[in-house]
Amino acid sequence: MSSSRIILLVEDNPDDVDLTQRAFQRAGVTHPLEVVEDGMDALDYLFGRGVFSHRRHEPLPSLVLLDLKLPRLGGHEVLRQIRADPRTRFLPVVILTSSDEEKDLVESYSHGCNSYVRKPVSYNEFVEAARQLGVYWLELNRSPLPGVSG
Amino acid sequence: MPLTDPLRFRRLLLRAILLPVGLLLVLAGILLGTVNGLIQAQEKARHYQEAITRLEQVRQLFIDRETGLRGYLLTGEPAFLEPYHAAGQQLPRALEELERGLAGAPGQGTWMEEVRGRWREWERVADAQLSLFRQGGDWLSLVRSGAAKARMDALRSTLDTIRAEELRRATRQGLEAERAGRTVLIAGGLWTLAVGGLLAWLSRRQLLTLARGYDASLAQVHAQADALRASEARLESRVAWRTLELTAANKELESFSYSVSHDLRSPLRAIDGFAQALREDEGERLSAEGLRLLTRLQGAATRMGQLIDDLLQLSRVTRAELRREPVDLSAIATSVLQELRQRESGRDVTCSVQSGLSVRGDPRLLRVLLENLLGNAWKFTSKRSGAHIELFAETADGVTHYAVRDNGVGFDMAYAGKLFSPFQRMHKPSEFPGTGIGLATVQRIVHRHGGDISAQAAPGGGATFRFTLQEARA
Repeated sequence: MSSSRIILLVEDNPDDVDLTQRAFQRAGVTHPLEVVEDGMDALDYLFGRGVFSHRRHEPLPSLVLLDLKLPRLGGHEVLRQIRADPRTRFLPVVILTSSDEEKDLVESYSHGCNSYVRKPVSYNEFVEAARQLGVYWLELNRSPLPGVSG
Repeated sequence: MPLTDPLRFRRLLLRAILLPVGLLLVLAGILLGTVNGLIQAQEKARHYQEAITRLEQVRQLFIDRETGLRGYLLTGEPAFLEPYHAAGQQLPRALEELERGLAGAPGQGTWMEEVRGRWREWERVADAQLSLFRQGGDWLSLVRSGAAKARMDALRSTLDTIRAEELRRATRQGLEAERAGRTVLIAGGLWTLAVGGLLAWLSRRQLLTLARGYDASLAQVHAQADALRASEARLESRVAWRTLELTAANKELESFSYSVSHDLRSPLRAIDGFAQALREDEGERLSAEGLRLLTRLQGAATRMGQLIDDLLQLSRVTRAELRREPVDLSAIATSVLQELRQRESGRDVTCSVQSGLSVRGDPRLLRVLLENLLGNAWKFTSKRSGAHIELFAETADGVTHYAVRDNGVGFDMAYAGKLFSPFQRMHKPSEFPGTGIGLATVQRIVHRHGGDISAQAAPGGGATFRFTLQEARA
């Protein structure tokens, strides 16, 4: 499976979705941004289940931007299940959240997130963050192919 | 009745000892009296026995005299007269002794008179016989007349009477003594039995009283211990309940802070973001005033974001579990100042940090503390050249004070009363930006370490913040 160059954004707040899309656009990150609004949808999307069963054989996204506070299934649990499944074990997951509670940081890293970015209030700073994330995770970083056991 | 009254206990104890001792003394007195009576009775019995012995002696002397005389008369041998004379010599004394021995006997005087009288009569006849024999007279017819024999028989009869009477008295006295002895034995035994029984009964009663008192005291002690345990348990359960409540309140506060951190910031981000989008997308169509308003809007959103972050920090400082470990205050200060210098590289600030300031405390909280104090110093020296910021320690009365001093704008001490309360500011926002939460956070950190903080400043004369960190005593 080749890299899809898709970015999956797991975010329930439509304002944040809109702003994130704009920020990536403005930062010159041209990769397609797919959006799911809660944790259950995120897992269904990744594993091709439920409304996303048509995606069963589609390639996985190159990067998951995961919010922590989500309806139905929270970000921590989504991350835990992603890491528990051999297909998504090495999938790059960046936590993108408003929280900078130590507790959240510790839990995210212990579940195996690849990075933790706090959404800044200032839009300009957010654009800069989006730019750096795009450059680093989609251009610079290399990940093993999905399903490879390590 | 509990034996809590020591006087009562002493009285009881005294009675338990004094009563048996008293009763035994009475017993001993009575026994002594009776034994004394017994001894006296025996003494009397011996007395009678002695009188009888003397009586026998007298009788023997009379026999000696009679037989001595008779032998002499029959043989003419003077040798036979020896016992006659010896007895004659001894008799007066023997009679005196007999009289003494009979002292106290009711017939003593009469008896002795009779004995002496009859003896004198016999002596007269005996003398007559003897003188007739020596003169060669007819002593034999005198003997034959039986005058001497009759007199001697009368004398013997008197002695027999006395003997019988004395024997009777001796027997009676012996019986009396025997009865007294028996009485002593029986009375002593009975008395001992009675006293023993009484003592046993009294001891039992007193022991029971003591035991009851002891039981009562024990019950009281038990009751007190139970009450103590109960109140302890109540206290413990109350503490546990309070702890539970506090834990719940803390949890609630934590989730509240989490919500504030997460949810309150999102709309702000949207405000700033969409204002920026408006500026970018529609900027050309907006007037200069419209663009200026957009800038104000974004500035307000940014400031509110900062306010939320500062409030969160203040709340976190209160909630966070305090760790106690060795912390190098100097190293933290140096690192904080380095960051400040990097953020504003154009500033000309002389910093001096006393080296080797090591304390025990929470490294994260102490970093927040220094970030705020040094950040303030950095901020309030921004409007002058030759800015100077220092961190040093002073020890007075065994207490170490740590001080952050700057030569910035300072402030009027008249307004310093609420310096450490949240949202209190000493300067206009147009002069120096800030939320007024930093020093409140600093004070909480110091208080949580058991220390204290104070400020000293003058308008235009810089400010010095001194704090202590009470080290936990092992």
